[in-house]
Amino acid sequence: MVGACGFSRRAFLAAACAVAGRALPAFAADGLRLAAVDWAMAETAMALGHPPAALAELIGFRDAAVEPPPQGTIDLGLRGAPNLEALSLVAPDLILSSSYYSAIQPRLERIAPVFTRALYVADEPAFPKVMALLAELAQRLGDPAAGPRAQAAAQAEFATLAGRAAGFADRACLLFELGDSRHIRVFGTDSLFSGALEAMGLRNAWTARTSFAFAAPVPLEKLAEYPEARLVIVGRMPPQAERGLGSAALWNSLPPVKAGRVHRLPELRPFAGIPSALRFAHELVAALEGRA
Amino acid sequence: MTLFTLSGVSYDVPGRRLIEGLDLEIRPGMVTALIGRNGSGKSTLLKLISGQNRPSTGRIAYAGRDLATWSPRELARDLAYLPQVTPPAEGMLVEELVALGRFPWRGALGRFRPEDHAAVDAAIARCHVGHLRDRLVDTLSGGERQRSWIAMMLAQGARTLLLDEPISALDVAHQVEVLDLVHGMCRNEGLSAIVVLHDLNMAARYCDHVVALGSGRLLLDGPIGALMTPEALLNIYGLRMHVAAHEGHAFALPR
Amino acid sequence: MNRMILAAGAVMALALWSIAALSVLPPAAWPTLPWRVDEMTVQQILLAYGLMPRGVLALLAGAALGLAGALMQAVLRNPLADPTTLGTASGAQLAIVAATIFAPDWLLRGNLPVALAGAGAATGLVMALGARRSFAPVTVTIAGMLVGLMASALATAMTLAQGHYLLSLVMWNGGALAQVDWSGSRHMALALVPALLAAAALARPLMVMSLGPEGAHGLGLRLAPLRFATLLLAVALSAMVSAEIGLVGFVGLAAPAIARSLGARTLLQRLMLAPVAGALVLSLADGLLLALAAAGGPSLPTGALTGLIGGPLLIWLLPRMKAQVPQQTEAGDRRGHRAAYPERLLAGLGAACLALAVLTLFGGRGPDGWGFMPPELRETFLPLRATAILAAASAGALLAGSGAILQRLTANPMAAPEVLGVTGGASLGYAVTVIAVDGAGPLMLALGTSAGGALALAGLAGFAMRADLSPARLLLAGLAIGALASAVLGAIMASDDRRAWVILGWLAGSASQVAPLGAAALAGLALALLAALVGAARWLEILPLGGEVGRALGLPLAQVRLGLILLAGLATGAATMLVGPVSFVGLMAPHLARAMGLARAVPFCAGSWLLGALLMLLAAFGARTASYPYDLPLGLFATLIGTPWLFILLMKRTSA
Repeated sequence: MVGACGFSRRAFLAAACAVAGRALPAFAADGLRLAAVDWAMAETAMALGHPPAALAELIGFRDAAVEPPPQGTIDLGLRGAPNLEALSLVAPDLILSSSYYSAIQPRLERIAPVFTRALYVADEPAFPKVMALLAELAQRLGDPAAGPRAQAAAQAEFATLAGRAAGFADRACLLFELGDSRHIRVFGTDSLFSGALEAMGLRNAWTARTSFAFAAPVPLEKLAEYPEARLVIVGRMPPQAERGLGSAALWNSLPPVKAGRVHRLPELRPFAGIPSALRFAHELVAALEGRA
Repeated sequence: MTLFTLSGVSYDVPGRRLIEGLDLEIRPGMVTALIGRNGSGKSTLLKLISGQNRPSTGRIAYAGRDLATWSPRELARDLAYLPQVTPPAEGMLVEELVALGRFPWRGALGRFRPEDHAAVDAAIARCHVGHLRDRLVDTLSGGERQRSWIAMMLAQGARTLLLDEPISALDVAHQVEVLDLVHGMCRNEGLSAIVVLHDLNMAARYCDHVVALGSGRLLLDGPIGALMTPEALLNIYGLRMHVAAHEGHAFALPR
Repeated sequence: MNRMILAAGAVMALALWSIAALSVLPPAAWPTLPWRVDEMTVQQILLAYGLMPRGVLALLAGAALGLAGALMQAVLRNPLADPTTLGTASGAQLAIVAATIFAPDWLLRGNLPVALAGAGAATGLVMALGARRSFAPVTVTIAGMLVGLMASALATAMTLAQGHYLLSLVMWNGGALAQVDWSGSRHMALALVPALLAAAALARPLMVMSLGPEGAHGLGLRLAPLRFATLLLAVALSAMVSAEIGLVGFVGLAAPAIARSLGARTLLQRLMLAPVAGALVLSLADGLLLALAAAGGPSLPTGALTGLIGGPLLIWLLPRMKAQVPQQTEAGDRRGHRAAYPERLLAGLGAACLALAVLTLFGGRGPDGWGFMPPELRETFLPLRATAILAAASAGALLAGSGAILQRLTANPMAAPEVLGVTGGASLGYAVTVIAVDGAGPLMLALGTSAGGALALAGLAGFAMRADLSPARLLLAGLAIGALASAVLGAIMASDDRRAWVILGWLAGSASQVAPLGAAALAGLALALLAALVGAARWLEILPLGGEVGRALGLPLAQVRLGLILLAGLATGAATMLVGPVSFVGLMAPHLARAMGLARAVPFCAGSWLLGALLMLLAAFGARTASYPYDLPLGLFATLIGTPWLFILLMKRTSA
């Protein structure tokens, strides 16, 4: 049942754990059987090569997934209120959660041990935490080598992208989502995307106060305070906003708009793991190069 | 002993004085008519002496004791009040309505005792609503409904009945029926009743005593005969009226 | 004197606006006419296409709302009518949210047609209900608030289901006046001028109508077309504002009240002065926020501020209502049938509850489809399901029990816990806890929620303690507290948004994520409530007969009312934590009980209690299985299955 290569690795790990005085992780067919309530955790686990067997809000996850979850992944229902019966049926060895779902943690713990981290906390940059999570989760999954490996791969990719983005480092980027044609939501320096921006050697133009990664809602006219920035619109635009912006005198008079320094990115996940940060970086560089 | 003693009673609502410095004594064992023009303060006075409202100034004594010192339930065992408009009693049978009259005696939790059932039965019999016991109150005719409500007052075991225009919505046969009942109870069983009335001739026919108000002041306090004079009526209603008598009963008509 | 007040208001509004304008540009640098966009600086454009149209729009939208409110109040002879209290604004909101999510293309030509359809439908529903009760003011207001609550609940659910547009929806819900060009002002002005003319033309027939339907008929006025035309005009104005700037509550309520207190005696004067007052109110509110933002403060949606003013205003208006509201028309329906054997009915209901509980305990839906639970899973599943089922049934019983108390207390068949404001206060407590405490645990949230509910209750009790409490006013005070709470909630939601998710999720009524201890506590409370209901049966028998009869029978009215309100409030607060603020079980169950012929206090209350449990059991089963594995919000599911029913019931019962 178990391949020779896998066996040796596990035997090694078991020995390592025994030496370190830790409990030996219970192995399923290929590692721990995981169930993820939090999407950032799910992405991280997938990046480590340990895709969860079950995932909350699977339908929504597929929608903007960097990498689609494997066939046969089980849907657990809503993230905030996962279906405990379905979760019990999955019989996970470990449940991946985050501080965001702390309200239901006691109920999850009754089904299986819970691995949780406070990833997105107001005013604390999320990027380093999400990066560190790769190693921490790998450790917990009994695959400690996978963490540094994934981190190194991500850093290498950011470095490559930084090279392509170097030509655009002259101006700071203002990252925002559009609410309607009059209001935006700006990504602050504590956001995941802002961290990715810095990893590419770019700057976030918005340094003011945020709450939970965002400053929201901000009236559109605030953009006038950043005449030098590149405007990066993240995510789909509501149709009314699309219509309203085209004819808005204020929008059309903004220096970045006049100069064509507006870039649009597809729907991305702002509260996610390193894979989403990388996807953002790729899309941004592509958008910058496309308009250059 | 007097039934009610009012000394210097006034009642104010924001911006207006409805009752003005009233001194009055009402005697027990008879039917007292409370009359006056619209807005003269009749219903207000009835609400004051029934304890529904507290006077703004002055004192009201009932049966020799300050009204404010009576506890609500204690008062309800002794004094019953029928509002001008009886509220809809949704889904309630006549018998159940009458049984509510025992609330002052048994409170929220006390068990019904034989004497409670007896009081309810007696009240129903006295008001001639026995055949209506199992009917819904809201399906009755006006006179039947009024009699059921009076039965509830009797079930309270009250010695004093305060009725606010009990006959204003009834045809003349029902009017007679209700006033006959009230009058008979005072005459035969020593109860006291104070009735707000608009119909002078009915007042003259069924009441023993009269209190007339105008603009919250006392205009007349005396035996019913004192009311049925052209002078008194002119004073109360500002209207000239003929007063005549037939078989010992006075009646008045606008001139 | 009155003109002085208006002028002072205008000067103040202008001053506030100027603070914001001057912080953008000194007057010397203001753009000169004619404006040429290509030659203007960004600051000049901000002023000419941002602040100036915003100021004008505030005036115009305020005027439109003021006129809409005055028209509604005139045609319904109801000083509490306005687009917020009649559900008109919420109807527009629901329509726009639904279109944003399901048919975004419909909005390409602007929000107005969609908003108008939604506002018209909601108002039509309220009027249909009101017509059965001869447009009694309190009943119409409550019906409007209920329709509004339902529409907002649905909108919340849709917002939850589709996260992409959350920001735009929340912004819009908050009523935001920010402008980037003159199109909004232009639309509003084009609509307002003909509307004012139409209102002037309607003034005389409306004046005749103020004599009451009989009197108006006697003078040869045809009521139906007049009502329809006036309401249509008011709804169109309200939808217009909704489409341009979103939900701006209570301006329509405040403006006619101000006009009246400034001495607008005749209807025509009121119809003309109310728009002026409305324009000033909205301008002042918006100017205040602009000045605040210019001084470095947060930028809040204007609708949240007007909502904050609206709640207290409603309370202030209540004592002044007496003279203006015809009270006799409030009577409920007089005839109902009575079940011959209420005990058998109750026993049947109890058996149905048990049967349903057992059925849903073992039956359900899993990955392999529908079926009964296999024996090997019992150990894992039974505790989970039993907890959820017990909690749901208890919450239903608690809500239905407090609904029964309130309906008896007020003798108003439209009374419901949602209307009591306790749920509003509880939601506010929840929201404040979520915002204030990072990662608050369940205990913290429970504490915050109860604290919010208790505060609302204390306010209500304070109101109830006042000497002559009429039950109708109690309901309205509850509504006012609820309105206040939802306004603050709107502001919180609009200024933050990661945590808005948590709050939104709860507002829709989170699914049965309750712990066994919590479920047991709820069940204990529900049983205690039932015991209290039976104990208070004689009070509940006498109370519907009104205060006079109650006092005449020696009922200590103030204490009894206070005690029952506290009881209902506690029960509602406890259930709210599980089900969320809106479920309508507390309204539905007593209605069903009455329709079954349970008329006397004990059968009525016990029947409502059982029916509430039954309804919530059904809702819980539906929420669990309808889209497995997604546990749908319990309160929302109850609302969805229950409300259509409820409306049919309300329409039918009084058609006789």
